[in-house]
Amino acid sequence: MVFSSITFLFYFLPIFIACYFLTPTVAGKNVVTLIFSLVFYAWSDPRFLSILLFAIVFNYAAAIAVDRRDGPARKSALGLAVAVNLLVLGLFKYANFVTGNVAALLKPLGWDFGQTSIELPLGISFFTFHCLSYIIDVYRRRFGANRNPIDVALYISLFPQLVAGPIVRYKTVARQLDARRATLGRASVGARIFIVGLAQKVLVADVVAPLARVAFDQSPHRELAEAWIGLLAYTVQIYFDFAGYSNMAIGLGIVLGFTFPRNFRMPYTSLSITEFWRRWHMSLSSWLRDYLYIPLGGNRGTDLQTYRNLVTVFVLCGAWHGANWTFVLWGVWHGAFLVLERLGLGSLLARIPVWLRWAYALLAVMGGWVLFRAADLPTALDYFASLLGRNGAGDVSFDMHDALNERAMVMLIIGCTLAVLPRWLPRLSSPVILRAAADAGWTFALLIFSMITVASGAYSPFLYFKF
Amino acid sequence: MLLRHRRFFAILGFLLIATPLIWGVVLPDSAGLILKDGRRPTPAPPAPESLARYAAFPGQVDAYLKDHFGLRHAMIRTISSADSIAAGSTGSNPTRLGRRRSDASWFAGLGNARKGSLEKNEGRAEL
Repeated sequence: MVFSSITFLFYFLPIFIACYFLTPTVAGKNVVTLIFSLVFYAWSDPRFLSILLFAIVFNYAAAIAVDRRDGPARKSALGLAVAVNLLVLGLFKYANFVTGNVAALLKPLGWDFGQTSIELPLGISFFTFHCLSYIIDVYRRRFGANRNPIDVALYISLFPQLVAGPIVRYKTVARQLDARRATLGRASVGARIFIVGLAQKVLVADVVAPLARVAFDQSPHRELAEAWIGLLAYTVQIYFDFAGYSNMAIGLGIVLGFTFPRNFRMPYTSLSITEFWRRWHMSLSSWLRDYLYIPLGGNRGTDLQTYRNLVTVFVLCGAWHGANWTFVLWGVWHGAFLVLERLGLGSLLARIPVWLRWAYALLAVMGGWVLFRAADLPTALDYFASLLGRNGAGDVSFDMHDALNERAMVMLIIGCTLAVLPRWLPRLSSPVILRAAADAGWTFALLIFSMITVASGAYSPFLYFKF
Repeated sequence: MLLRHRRFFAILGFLLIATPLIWGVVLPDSAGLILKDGRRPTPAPPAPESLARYAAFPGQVDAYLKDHFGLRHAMIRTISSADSIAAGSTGSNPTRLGRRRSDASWFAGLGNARKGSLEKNEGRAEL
């Protein structure tokens, strides 16, 4: 089920909210939320519910097993728990990729190596990372293993953040699982954030999506103008799509009394790739820092070791997003820029005007999106050629003309503006009462427009669901 | 006063989101309105009896709910009217499409490109 679907918005959400707030105790609310979360997950494909249930049961037991042990036995229990989690992720996410590549390698030798065809369960990368952080933090004695299976099940399957993040650490919500305050004031703040997220997804990301789809999927050898329009549209689409989902998740969390971490902080205003990763998918970058980069040695070793750690983390970050060489290369791309900035590009950037630094960071990020969005490597290389004008300069395809309607163009401009302008816009010093009125008016207008757009029936799956 | 009452925003938001559900129960759109789309409304799915039917059940419920939420017709008509106003035309779909392309090309500064792509589409230029 996606947040911007009719089923979720007009049926699931109102029924859930009513049941949740009519339940008097926190324990009761947890049971209600758990049931709705399992229904939410099963809605995409009921067969995959068994994988989620396995993850819950296994990690509940594994955390207790780790917590009970000391010394080498504790480490062994952790190793086993991490291995099983990674094995499940690897089997469902990477088996097709690995067998496909092995088959391609062996084919010239005349060996017909079979290829697996395993479907990807929704949100498996996200809930596996939730499970891993829970187990590892129990091992590190940050907190004891939770003996209440409802609490653990709710942490892993909590529907607002289940399938596309943000990646919430157990520590962040541990206390809120048993004692949280859900007041009308908090619910109103959460509702506003949810509505803003819904509008980001439905009114901006979905509207500009056809421009990117045409440029990347329907126009082989697109020319310069079309390539840049498509790339700009995808740059806007992926930000508003993912940030929109994160805001909806954070808003719903606040309505329920939880506090989820912020996931985006104006990433397209970054002045370097290092800064970009402090602003983009912050819950993932901090997860990778704490559970991968620092255990690998972080920046405590020699410069060469630091560069190796950075590239390793970003290659794995790319592979986490998808089992395809394009994602691996996207990771390498970002890792390489981070290394370059540490090698001296960063200090060089500090001496040039701000707008040039911003242009550098934005172009580097957009170049990465080509790898991220292209279906395969030849398409990505051809797209880079188009961006450089190697496939022609100005003509655009008929499909692109069709996709460039008024709404798409207006939303592309609004998207570009909203993605960068607020950082440099001076705060308006209007009276609080006026700001409150404008805030309420705008938010309700956004909700009504979003609801009408959802009702118009366009199918709009979230980009990050497939990761 | 407005500031004090901002906390009631959640209740108003909830009522707004629940409106299609409540309206669909109290005053559902008539089947005739969906027949105007040139198709029959999706029937309610039967209770699943086998594992395979369980897998298909959510999709069937989605299709049913898409046809039966309250104010469906009004909301779809609103978005259609809004699109017409934005396109600056109340004419037929092909008329609006042609006009839209013209505006789009001007906006994107792609006047010559438009000419080329239209020629290609009409078979007057080599692809």
